[in-house]
Amino acid sequence: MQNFTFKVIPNQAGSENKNNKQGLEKQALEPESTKMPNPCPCPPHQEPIYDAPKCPPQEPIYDAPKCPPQEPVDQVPCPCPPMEPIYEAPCPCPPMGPLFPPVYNPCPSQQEYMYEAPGMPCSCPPMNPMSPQMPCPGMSAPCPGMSCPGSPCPGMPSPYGGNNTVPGNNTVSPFMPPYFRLAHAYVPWQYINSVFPSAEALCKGTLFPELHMPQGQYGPCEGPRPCKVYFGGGAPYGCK
Amino acid sequence: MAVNNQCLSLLRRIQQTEFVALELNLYLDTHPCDQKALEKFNRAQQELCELKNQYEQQYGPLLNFGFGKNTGNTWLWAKQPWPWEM
Repeated sequence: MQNFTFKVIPNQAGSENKNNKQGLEKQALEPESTKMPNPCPCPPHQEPIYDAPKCPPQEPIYDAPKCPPQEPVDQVPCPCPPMEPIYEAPCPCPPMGPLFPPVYNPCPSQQEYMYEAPGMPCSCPPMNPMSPQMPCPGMSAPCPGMSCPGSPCPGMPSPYGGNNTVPGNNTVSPFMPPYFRLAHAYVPWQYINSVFPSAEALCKGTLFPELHMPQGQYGPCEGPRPCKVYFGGGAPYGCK
Repeated sequence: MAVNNQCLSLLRRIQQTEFVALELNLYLDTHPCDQKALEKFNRAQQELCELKNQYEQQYGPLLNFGFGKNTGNTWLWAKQPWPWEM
């Protein structure tokens, strides 16, 4: 039977009792003969902190690397010479990919996402304007009882696999045609028609009547009270 | 140099024409082949040049340098009223 000695290691500030307890148990399992010639009270063979983590060769970009948790340096109750800073060691894991989402090509060759609009040279997702001045794209034969702009037929199948009804609800989306996709922004193409006279354009802040959005009709300050009442300041609206 | 209503009116017309040219400039940035907009822009640009020339001949330089020349024997830029004096 071997003689074991138990060494009391002072608890350093900031170290947790759990880690200290593990250190005590670890030392208690080692024979005293292995410690005597060593003036350093540390165990002779200590697990290297920078041991190579057993990372998988290539993880997906958004998966955290499966590195084993490393013990903080200040939890090792050892007066040995300071070891290399733990955070300067390069991670031996394979280099991860960039932390960017995959680039989406807006006009790829996948034909299953394409909306085949008649007359369009490119089969990208729809670029047709939905301004009231323009005819409705792809709505040459509207369903009976529906007006043209933004009145898709209920239950009309979409080329993208759905229809124009709200999921979980059979109400028709009031202003989006069925072939528009979710989470895609569309800006209607502007066509120049008539323009304001120069004095009126400077007063209204735009040359184009279709971009004229006076206060009280558009924007966040809707309602009978002007923005000045809500937010303070600002110039009174109106042209001389 | 005194500022009269005619000077302010001419300045106002310059501002208005500049705004029209700027709006058409922004439109043409995204519609470079729109002939109708190009025609309007060229017309606004020509009118703007005429108005600026008319103003400089009557009331002094609009810019300290870069547009017109200093007519006369004195430095006219410093003699005309500043914007906060108008």
